[in-house]
Amino acid sequence: MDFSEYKDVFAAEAREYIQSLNENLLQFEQTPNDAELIAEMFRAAHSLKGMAGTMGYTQLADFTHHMENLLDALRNGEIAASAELVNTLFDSVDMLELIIEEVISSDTVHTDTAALKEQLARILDKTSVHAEKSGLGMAAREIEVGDTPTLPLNEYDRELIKEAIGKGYSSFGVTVVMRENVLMKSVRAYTVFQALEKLGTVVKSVPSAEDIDDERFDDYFTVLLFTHQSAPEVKNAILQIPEIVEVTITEVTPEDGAVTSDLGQKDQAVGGPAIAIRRDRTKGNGYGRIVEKFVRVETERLDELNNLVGELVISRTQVMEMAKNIENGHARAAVAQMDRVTTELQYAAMKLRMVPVKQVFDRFPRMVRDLAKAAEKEVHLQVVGEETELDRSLMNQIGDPLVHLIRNAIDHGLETEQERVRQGKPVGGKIRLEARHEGSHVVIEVADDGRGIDVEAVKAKAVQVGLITRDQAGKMTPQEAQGLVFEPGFSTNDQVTDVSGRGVGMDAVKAALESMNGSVDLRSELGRGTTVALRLPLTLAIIRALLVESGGQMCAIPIQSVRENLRVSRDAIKTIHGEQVITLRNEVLPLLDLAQLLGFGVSSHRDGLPVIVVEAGAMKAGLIVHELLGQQEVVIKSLSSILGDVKGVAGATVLGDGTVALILDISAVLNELATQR
Amino acid sequence: MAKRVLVTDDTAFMRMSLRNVLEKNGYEVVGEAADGEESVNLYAELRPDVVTMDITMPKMDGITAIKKILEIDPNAKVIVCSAMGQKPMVIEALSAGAKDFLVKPFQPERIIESLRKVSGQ
Repeated sequence: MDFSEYKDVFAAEAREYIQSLNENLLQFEQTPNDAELIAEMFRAAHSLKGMAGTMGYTQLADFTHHMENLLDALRNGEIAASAELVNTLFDSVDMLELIIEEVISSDTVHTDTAALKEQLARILDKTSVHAEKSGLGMAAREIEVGDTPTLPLNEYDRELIKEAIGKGYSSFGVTVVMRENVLMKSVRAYTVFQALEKLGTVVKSVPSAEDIDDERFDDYFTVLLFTHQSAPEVKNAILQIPEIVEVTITEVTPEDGAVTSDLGQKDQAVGGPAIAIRRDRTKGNGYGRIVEKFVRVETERLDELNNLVGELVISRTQVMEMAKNIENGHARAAVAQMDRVTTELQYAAMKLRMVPVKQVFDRFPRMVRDLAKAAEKEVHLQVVGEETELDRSLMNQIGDPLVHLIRNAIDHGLETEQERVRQGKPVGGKIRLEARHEGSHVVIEVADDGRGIDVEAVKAKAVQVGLITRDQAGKMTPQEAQGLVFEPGFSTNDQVTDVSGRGVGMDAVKAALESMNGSVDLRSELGRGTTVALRLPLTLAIIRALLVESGGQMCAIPIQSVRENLRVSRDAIKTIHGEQVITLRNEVLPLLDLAQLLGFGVSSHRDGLPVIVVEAGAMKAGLIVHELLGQQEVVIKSLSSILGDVKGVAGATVLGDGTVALILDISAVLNELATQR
Repeated sequence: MAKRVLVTDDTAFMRMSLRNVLEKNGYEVVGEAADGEESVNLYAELRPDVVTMDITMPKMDGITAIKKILEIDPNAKVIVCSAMGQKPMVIEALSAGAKDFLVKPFQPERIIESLRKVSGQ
C-alpha cells in the first residue's frame, strides 16, 4: 500500500508528538516520579515508531525504538531518573525532530544517530536493576504492548470479581472496536454501554467513562463486565450494534491478569496485575484517522477565500455608494441586508485565519530551559494568554522576533545569580510571556525582572558608535534614549554571548513588526526589569483606516497610528530651526505636509487646515492634509513588485467608487522625518 | 416482504434523499412526516416497521415524538437523526428509547446498516 498520500498527516502528527514529548520532558525534569508523564512519553515514542514503520522510515522507527526501550524501562521502574537520563532524552527529542524533518522533506535520514542510540542503550544497561531480565522482557513486550489496551485491576476490583464469581456471574474483559471515523463516537460508545448494561453490570472501563464521553479515546475501549450471559451471547449482542466491527472477550479472574502470559506476569512483578486484550491492528493505520471535529484545509485555499471576501467587501462598498440615491424601499433593504451579511462573512473568513498563539509559545519553555542552562542562570518562564488568537500569517512571522526578545531577556536582561543576590532579588529570574487582546490589536509582551536598561549607558554607547551627537544625547528624554536600542547597529552589551551574538538586533525586531503593520514598545526601569510589547493587528488583510485627500491623492492612514484630528489656523504654526511646528497641550509637534511628503506638490494653504496627529513608537507628528473624508475598513493590497518598496507606503486599496488610495506606513514616515532631522 | 419505513424530517430535501436511499435498497417508504406531531399521527395510522426521526422540528420535536410513539407502541423502532453538535439531544433520544442514531450528512451505507440492524434483518 502506498502511504505517501498520508505524509502530510504524518508530518503534522509527528510534529505534535515532538511538541508533546518536549512538554512532558520539561515537566518530567521537575517531577521525575510522575508515572503519568512517563507513560505519556512512552506512548508518544511508541506511536511515532508505529507511524514511522508504516511509512517505511526504518531509521526513524529504529531510533524511536531505542527511545521507547528506555522510556519503557523507566515506566516499569527498572531504571531511575537521573540528570544524565533527562539530558539524553532531551537530546533524543532534538534528534527526533531533526530526523523527522529530514524524512518529511527527503524521505530519508541523513543524520547519524548511532552515537545517541548507543548512549540510550548504555543508560538502559548501566542503570537497569535487572539488566538481563529487562532485556528479555523487552523482546516479549515488543509484540504485545502499545496497541494493547490493558485493564489494570486494583485490590477493590479483585474483591468485586471474587464476589461476582461467587454469586455465579462471569467476569469478562470486553474490548469493543468501532469502525474508523465514526461520527459522534462517544454516542456510539453510549449505545454500547446501554447494551452492556442490559446484559449485566459494567464495573469499569478503560479509557474512563469521562474520557469516552469527551471522545478522548481511539476507536476502541475495554470494559470489565459481570454477567450471567455467555461470552458468545455478549459478543453477538454487541456486534448487533451498528458500526461495531470487532468484539473480543476474555475471562478475568481475581487472582491475576493471567490472560496474556508474558505481559501479565511482567506487570505483576512490577506493580498490580493487569489483563490485556490484543487488538488486531491490521485493518487501520493509526494516523490515517482525523479527529472529525477538525478539517485540515490547505492554507492556500483559505488565502483564496480571504482574497475573494476582500474583493466582495470592495464591491459591497461600491454598491452601497450607488444605493445612496435609491428611492425604492425594498432595494434599500436588500442592500442593507447584503451589507450585514458581507460584514459577517468578512468576520467569519477572518476567524478562519486565526490560530491561538500557543502554536508559537509552545516552543519557548524548552528554549528557555536550554538558554538558561547555557547562561547558567535560573529562569522561571511564565506564559499567559496562550489561547489568544492571531492571524496565521502573522503567526509565522512573530516567532523570530519573540525568540530574539527571549534570548535578550535571558542573556542581557537577567543578571547573574550572584548579582541578583547582591541586589536582594530572588536568585531565579522571571520572564513573563503574555499575549492579550487590546481593541483590534493583539499585544504580546516579553517582560523580565532583570537589570533594566541604563539610559545613560545607552546614550554613551549611541554617541560612541556615532548614532547621535553628544549634544543630541543631552536633549533626549529617557524614553527617546531607550528608543535608541531599536536603531540599526546598536547593542547594549559589549560582550557578545554565544547565543545572542548571532541573533538579530532589536532593529530587526522593529523592522519585522513594522512589516506586519505592528509596532514595538519598550518600557524599562533600571534595576527592575524590561518589558517589550509587540502590538500586532488582528489581521493583515483588512484594516480600519482614516481616509484623507492630499494633493489630489486619496490616502488611508491605519487607525492605530492616528491619535487625533485638529483644525489648525495658519498663525498657530510656528517655525523652529526651519521646521514647522505647532504646540498642542504644551507639547511641540513637528508638522508635515502630506502632499509634499508624497511628492504631490503642496496642500493648499488655506486657513483651518486639517491636521492629523499620528504616532508610531515614541514619535509623534502632525500631518497636514487637504481634506478629511472619514473612517472606513480597507482591504490591503500590496503594491506590485514593479513598484517595489515605496518608502512610507504600506500598500494600496481600492475604495467604493473605484479610486485607489495609498495606505500610509506611519512609522516609516516618522522614521524618515527623524533621520532628516 | 419489504420493511416499511416512516421518514420524519422538516426539510423536504432530507425526506427525499432518505426516501431515495431506502427505496434503492429495498425498503418501502410508507409515509413522510414534516414534524413530530405528524409523525406520531402517521405512526398510529401506518404502524411502520421503522421510523427515522429528525430532532429539531417545528410543532413537536423529535424527542417528544419518540416518547409519544413509544407510548403508542413500546416496541416501536425509531432511529434518531441529528446534525453534528447535537450530542446531548441524541443521548436523550437514545435513553428515551430510540434504537440507533444517524449523523448528518448521511452516508447511505450507514443508513442501511442502521435500518438493517434495528429492524433485525
